[in-house]
Amino acid sequence: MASSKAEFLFAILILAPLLGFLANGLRWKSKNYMLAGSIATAAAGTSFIAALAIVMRLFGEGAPKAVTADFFQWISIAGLEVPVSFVIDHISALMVLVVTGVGTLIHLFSIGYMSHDERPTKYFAYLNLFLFNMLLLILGENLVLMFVGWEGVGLCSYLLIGFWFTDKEKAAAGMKAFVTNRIGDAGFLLGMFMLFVTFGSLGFSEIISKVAGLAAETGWTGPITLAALFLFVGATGKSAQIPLYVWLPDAMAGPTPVSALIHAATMVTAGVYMIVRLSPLFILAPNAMMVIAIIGAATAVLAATIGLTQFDIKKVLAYSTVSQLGYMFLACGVGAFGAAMFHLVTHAFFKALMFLGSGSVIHGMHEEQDIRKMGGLAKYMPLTYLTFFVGWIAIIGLPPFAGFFSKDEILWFAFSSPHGSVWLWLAGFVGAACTAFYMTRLMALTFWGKPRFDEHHTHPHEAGPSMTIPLVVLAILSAVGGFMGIPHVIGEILPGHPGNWLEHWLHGFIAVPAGETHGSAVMEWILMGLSVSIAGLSAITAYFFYVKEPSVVERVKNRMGRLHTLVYNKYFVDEIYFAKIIDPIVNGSKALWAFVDVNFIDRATFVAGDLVKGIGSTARTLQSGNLQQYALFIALGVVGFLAFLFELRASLGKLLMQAFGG
Amino acid sequence: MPTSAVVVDSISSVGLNHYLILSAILFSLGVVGVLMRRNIIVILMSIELMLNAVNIAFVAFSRSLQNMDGQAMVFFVMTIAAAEAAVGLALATTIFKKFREVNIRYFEHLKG
Repeated sequence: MASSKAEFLFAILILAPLLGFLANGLRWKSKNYMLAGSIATAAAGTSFIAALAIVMRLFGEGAPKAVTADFFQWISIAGLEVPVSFVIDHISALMVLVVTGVGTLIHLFSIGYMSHDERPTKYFAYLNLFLFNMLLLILGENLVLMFVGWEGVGLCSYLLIGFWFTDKEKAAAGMKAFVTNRIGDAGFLLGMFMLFVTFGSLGFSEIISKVAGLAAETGWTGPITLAALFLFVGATGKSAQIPLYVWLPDAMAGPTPVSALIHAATMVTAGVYMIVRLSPLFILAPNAMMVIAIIGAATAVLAATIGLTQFDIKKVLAYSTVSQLGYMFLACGVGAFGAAMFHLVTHAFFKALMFLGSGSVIHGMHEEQDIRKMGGLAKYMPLTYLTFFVGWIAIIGLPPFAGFFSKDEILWFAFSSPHGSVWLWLAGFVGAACTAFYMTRLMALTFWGKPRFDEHHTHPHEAGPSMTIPLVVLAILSAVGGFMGIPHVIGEILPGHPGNWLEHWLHGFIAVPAGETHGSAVMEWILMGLSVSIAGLSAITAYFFYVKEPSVVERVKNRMGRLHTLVYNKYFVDEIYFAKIIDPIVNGSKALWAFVDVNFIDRATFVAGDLVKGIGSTARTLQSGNLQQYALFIALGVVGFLAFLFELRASLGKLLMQAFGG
Repeated sequence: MPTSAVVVDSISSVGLNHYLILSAILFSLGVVGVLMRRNIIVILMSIELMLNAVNIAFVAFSRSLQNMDGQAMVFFVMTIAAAEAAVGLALATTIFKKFREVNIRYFEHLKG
C-alpha cells in the first residue's frame, strides 16, 4: 500500500509541471501574465510539495535508502529493458528539492519580470515544460529516461534563449546553444552504448551493482574509461565546460529568470549530477577522472579570467557560472563527489540569487545591461542591493556564507585527495582570486560609486513583491546553506561539535576514492586561511580599483593592452571555432553543393526526369482516342498472342516427342 | 434416286472443317468491318457478323462433339448481342441527333 502512495506522489511531482505546460500551452495567445504565471507557479509549487513529501520518508530511524516508483515498461527489445521508473535517493533528493524549490521561486519572480512581455503565457508554458523535463532527468532510474529529460531540457533551453526570436542575434544564440549541445549529446549517446554493451543494462542501480568490486582500469581504452569519457563529453556540452562552453555566455540572450533557472541553478548542473550519480563507475576510470579534473580546473580559471573584463552584467554572471561549474567538475575529477554536490546546491542558491538580482537591476534600469551605465544603485534599490550583497559574499567565499564551505571543501579535496595535486589546488586558488575580483568589480560598478546614468531620465526602482520575495528567500538560503556541510576541522572547535551533515547524508551513495589522502588538519587550516585571505585581498583590491581610484583601472588596462584585448574578446575562442571548424564545414558543404550536387545528383534527377518525359510523350501518341485504332491494337494483340500460343504448343510438342522417344 | 442420293452425299460430306472455315471467314469480315468502316451502324452490323460467326463455330462443335453446351451458349450470345445492339443503337441515335451524322469519330466528343 505504501508503495502505491509513493507512486501517487511521484505522479503529482512529475505531472504537475506537465499539466501546467498544457494549461498554458493550449491558450498560448493569452496576454494575461498574472493568470499564466499563477498557473505555472502553482504547478511548480505543487511539485515542490510533492518532492518534500517524498524526501521526508528518507528521514528517521529505519527509513528506506530510496523511494522508488515503477510505472510501466517502456521499451523491451532483445535484452534492452527500459522501465519508466523513478527514484529519489539521497542524491536525487538534494537535486529535486533544489530544482523544484529554486524553480518555484524563479517562477514567482517571472510573474513580475514578464509583466510587460508580449507573450507571457508561452513563456510560462516553456518554463513548466522545462521543469517537467528536468524532473525526468533527475528522477529517471535509468540512463534512457535521463537522456529523454536531457534532450527535453536542451529543447526548452533553446526555446527560452531564443524567446525573443524577432531579434536575430537572440535567435542565433538559441541555435548556438542547441547545436553545441548536440555535439555533447552525441558523446552521451556513445557513452550509453558503451555501458549497454559492457553491462547489458542502462539502469543506474544495475550498473552500479555490476561495477561493485571491479578493479580500476589503468589504460585509456578500457570499456569503463571510454564510457566515462564519452559521458563526460555529454557533460561538457550540457554543463558548459571546455571545449563546449561557448554557448552559455550567449545564452544570456534569454529572459533573465531563464538564465537564473536554466543557465545557473538547474540544467547546467545536469552534467555534474550525472557524474555524481554514476560515481562508482567513474571512480574505476582514473584516467577519465584526471581528464575531468583538468578540464574542470582549466574551465574554472579560463572563465574566471574572461569574467574580469566583461561589461554586460549577465555576461559576467555567465562566465562566473561556467567557472563555478568548472569547480564542480574539478571536485568530481578528484573523487570528491560529495563536495561537487555541495557546491552544486550552494551555487544554485547564490547564483540564482545573483541572476534574479541582476534581473531586478535590468528591470529597474529599463532593460539596461551595461554596468558602465549603472553605478550607485544601492540607494535606489536597497533590497536588491542587500540580497545581491549576500550573494556576493557567498560566491567569493567569505565565511560563514554558503560559498565558503562548498568552495573550500573542493579546494581541500583538490589538494588532499588521492587523485588531487597541488597544481589542481593552485588552479582553484587562482580561480577563487579571480572570482572575488570580478564579483567585487560587478558590485562596485553596479551598486557603489556615483551613478553614471542620466538621473533625470532613468529612475531605477525596486520591483513588486513577486520579484523581491524570491530574492529574500534565496538570500537567506545563500547565507545559511553552507551549514549543511561544515568541515570537520571547523566543527570540532564549534560548540556542540556539528558534524558534516551532507557528508553523512551522501555516505554510501557516492563512491569514495581509494588510496591515501595527503594533508593534515593543520594543512587544511592553512589552505583555508590562504583562500579566504586571497579572496578578501582581491576583493579589497577590486574595491580600491573600481570605487576609490578608477584611473588605476585605465592605467592597468593600457599597461597590459594586448593581454586585455585577448581576454576581453574571450580569447577569441568563438573566432577560432569559426575559422577552424565551422567555416571549413560550411565551405566544404558549399563546395559539395556546387560540385557534387549540381553536377551529379541534380543532373541524375534531371536526366531521369527527361527520360520519363520523352518516353511518355512518345507513348502518348498511342492513346489517340480513336476507337478503331484501339480495336486494331486489340486485334493485332489477339493475333500475336494466338500465334505465340500455337508456336509454343508446336515447339512444346516437339520437345515432348524428343523426350519420350518419338 | 441418284440425284437425291448425290445431294445427300454432298451434304453429308460437309464436315466440321467447312463450318469452321465459314465461321472464320465471317469473323474476319466482321473484324475488317469494325476496323475499316466509319459508319456506326455498319460497325454494329459487323459486330453482329462476328458474333454470329462465333455462333456457327459453337453449333458446329456442339454437333460434332455431341455436346449440347455449345448450343446453350449460342442462346446467351444471341441475348447479349440483342442487348448490345440496343445500347449501340441508342448511342448511334444520340450521336446522330447532335451531329446529323453517325460517324465513329464523333465518339471522341463523348469523353468528359
